[in-house]
Amino acid sequence: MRLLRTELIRFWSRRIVWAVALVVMVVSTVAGIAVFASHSNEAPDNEALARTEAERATEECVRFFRNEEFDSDREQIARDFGFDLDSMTDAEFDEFLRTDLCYQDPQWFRPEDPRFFAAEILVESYEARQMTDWSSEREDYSVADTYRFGVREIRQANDGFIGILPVVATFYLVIAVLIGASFVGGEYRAGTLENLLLWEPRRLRVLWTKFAAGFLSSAALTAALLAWLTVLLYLVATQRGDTSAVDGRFWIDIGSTIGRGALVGGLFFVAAMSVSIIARNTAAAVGLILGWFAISNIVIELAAKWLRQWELFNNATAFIREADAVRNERIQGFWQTVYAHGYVEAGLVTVMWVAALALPATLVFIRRDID
Amino acid sequence: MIEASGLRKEYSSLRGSDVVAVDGIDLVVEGPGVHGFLGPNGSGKTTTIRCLLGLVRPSAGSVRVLGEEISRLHTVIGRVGALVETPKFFPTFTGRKNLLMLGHLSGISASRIDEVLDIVGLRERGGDSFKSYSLGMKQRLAVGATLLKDPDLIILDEPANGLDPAGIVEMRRLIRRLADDGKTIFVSSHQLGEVQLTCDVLTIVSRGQVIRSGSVADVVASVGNRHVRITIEDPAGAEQVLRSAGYAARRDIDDTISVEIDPREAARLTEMLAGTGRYLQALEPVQGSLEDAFLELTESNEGGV
Repeated sequence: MRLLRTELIRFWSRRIVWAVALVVMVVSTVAGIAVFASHSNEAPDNEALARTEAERATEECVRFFRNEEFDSDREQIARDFGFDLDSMTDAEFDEFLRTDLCYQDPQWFRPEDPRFFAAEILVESYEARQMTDWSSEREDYSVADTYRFGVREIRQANDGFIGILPVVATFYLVIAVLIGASFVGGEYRAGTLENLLLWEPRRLRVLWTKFAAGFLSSAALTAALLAWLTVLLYLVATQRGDTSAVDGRFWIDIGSTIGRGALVGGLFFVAAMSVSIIARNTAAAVGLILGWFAISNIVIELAAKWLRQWELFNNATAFIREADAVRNERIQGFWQTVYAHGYVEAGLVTVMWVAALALPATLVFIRRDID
Repeated sequence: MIEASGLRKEYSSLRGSDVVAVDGIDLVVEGPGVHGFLGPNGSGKTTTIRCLLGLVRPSAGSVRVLGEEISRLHTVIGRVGALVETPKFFPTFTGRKNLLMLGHLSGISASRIDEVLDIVGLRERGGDSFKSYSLGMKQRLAVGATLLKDPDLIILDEPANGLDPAGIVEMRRLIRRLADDGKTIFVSSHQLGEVQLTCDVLTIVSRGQVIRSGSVADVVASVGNRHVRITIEDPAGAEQVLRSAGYAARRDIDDTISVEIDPREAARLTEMLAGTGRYLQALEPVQGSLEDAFLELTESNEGGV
């Protein structure tokens, strides 16, 4: 426990941890202020506005075709729709225009709701998550298209902010990588690992205590940063938005999203630290992991489609988003994205990836000379 | 306290050739007292120390520290304090915090940290970041870290590195005081004068092998007592006569002449010079220094440094 305590103290004494946390909190605060400034707490009567706007557009269209300058157009329409223009009264023609040719659906004119919807925007609506579109079936097994309908399709909330928390949690993995790689990379650089081993020579114990301390601390840091963003945006929603849909399930959703993000934040710390041990260098470890993050989808598309369902980042993000992991399947001659496994399995795949990095790192750490 | 037998460490290079850093060292360090560990650069001193502390895995041989094999070093590590090469601490942490971090590992109290900072003269600067320390201060902090546990065995690799003359004297006194308190100190150093003043027993290594071991007096006497100094009226003429006879003679600044010869055979010089009409005013054997012994031993082993 002493060793764990020491490593925890060291984690939280590092400048990079506080510097990164500060930057993220400032950026979150600025984002919160921007959301506050760009939203309104007044709910418009969207239905009435949309209906009025649709009727205005319909009438404009009707006026256009009533205009005698467009006789030739009217004759063309009559030919296309198969009716005798001469036998139609003006009122009948207007009715045809209004109900058929010129009809504008109010749905298309629905104005953007200026409120910030806490329940739908912070996390994806749980109603939306229930919707899985079974796009095709084959005799031997079912193929599900896992496209999730966003809140936009259901409630017409603002674009761009849907399920913001899981998206941000994914970006916070970069923080875990930076801190994890530098945690032991810094020790190799400063040579302090040697000091530590002169006090506790059992290397396995030293390494796994570092893993444990880093995992716990990185998870806590990720959770704290996500909680900070949640609090900020929730406060914005109370002032400039809508919290009417917030209920127990919303908070459970928020909590579980933060929990999954924290878990993966801890795992990515361990992964980055493992690579750093093998490479004995912070920059190499960060470059390797974030480099793979940047090019993994290109590699998968071009050369390793089979890898998609097993790839680390795809599974980690699927787990955080509580989404399904997908794979590429050739169906009727076309590559399609289909269901591979659920989010729990995606979490397990992530754990296996981290274990696959931690085990060789352990062997290297135990056997490598410190000189 | 320390026993090494047939200790060997080889490093493989990318070119496929192996480099032997330690080549079958046998070492016994008994306590209490100060045991010096001398050798030229690259002679395998630090690698040996790293092997003793479990930092480097030996290619062959066995090591026991405080009676325990390296695989069980953790059972006695609380009684061992060590400084290997340069001080290694977290640069942005203060000196005190660096010691506190180590202290946490063994449940050492904050008051002991302050006590140690006092011992190494860093009480005033304990709150400054390690990276702001001078080389000498860093070295003192590292020595402080070895003392935290109040260990029975202290292993110091070049502890006087970077210290100013006053610091070197302080370090010598500290080492002697620890030895007088019953501790065993195993110290490698290039400061031969300091070693001669501080150590009770010596081991000299060269090319990864032990080439001499014993008490400081014995080591010095074994190789370093082969000069006499003569005082004579005509030093220039006497020097010429001696050189013509094949003796390595050198006129010193005070007009005395140093001649390399076993003092027991000095009568030959008297006879030879008297034969040319030159009579000695004085003849005294020159006490060899550790430096002489060290250079002679290592040069003969390495074929010149």
